[in-house]
Amino acid sequence: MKILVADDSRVMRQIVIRTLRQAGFDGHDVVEAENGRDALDKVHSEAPDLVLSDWNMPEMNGIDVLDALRSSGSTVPFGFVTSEGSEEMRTRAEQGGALFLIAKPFTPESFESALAPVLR
Amino acid sequence: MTISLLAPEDVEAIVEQVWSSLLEVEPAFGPLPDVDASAGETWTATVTVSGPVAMLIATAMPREAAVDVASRLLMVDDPTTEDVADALGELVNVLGGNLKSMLPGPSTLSLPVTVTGEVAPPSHAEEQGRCVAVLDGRPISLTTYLLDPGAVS
Repeated sequence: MKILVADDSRVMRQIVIRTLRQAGFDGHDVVEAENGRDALDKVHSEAPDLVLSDWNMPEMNGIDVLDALRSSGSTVPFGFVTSEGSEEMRTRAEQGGALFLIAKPFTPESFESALAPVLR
Repeated sequence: MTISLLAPEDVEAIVEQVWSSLLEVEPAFGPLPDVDASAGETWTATVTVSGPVAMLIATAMPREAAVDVASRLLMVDDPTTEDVADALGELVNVLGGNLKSMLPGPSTLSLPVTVTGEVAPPSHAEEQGRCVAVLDGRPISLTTYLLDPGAVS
């Protein structure tokens, strides 16, 4: 499977990819996007099986990416990995069609429980 | 209007959680190492919370600690300057996101900014809290400033 990791921080993209491995999700192809606009473009060009997206990004934030995808008819599985995990944001994410919201700092266990239904 | 703000023990708990997870080290609070604060270069990363409580959140540390943070986050021995700036930005972003969740909402978090040197808050800002933790003998501070103190008094 192909996973798109969208975060404006290269450091955080590396941590997310490392945590994927630690959670047992190695062996998947990973594509990186450095902002929301890049993520939207790469969903169309790379056709990932899962999108892991930060919320707060330049160019286009994560929830706008999700809204744009759903508006265009895309049903790609989409989850947030973000520093903010308030109820307000979880509700907004769910309403937008996100499968989950993982709050930073996260653990391999939180990745395992959130991603297993999609990747296993 | 009375708004309960961040209690020092809650801030320390968040620092402990974030450090443990991201840096894989327990912060040591309490007696500070004997360092010359005027010596060497300081790196500071900030984010701003906008909402019922407007807050500037800043973490500052000596360059050596900033390089250590980046090394731990990226698991590399010799991070580039760009890596260090990115790592500190992500550290304050995660700290800020967790602190924001304890403040009244709805509110938004800015993108992080990392600079070399100290950050001078706006003249009307008021320091709300400060904690200092020690990483390998070097102090790393986390300071919160109220940007609109009148709104919460």
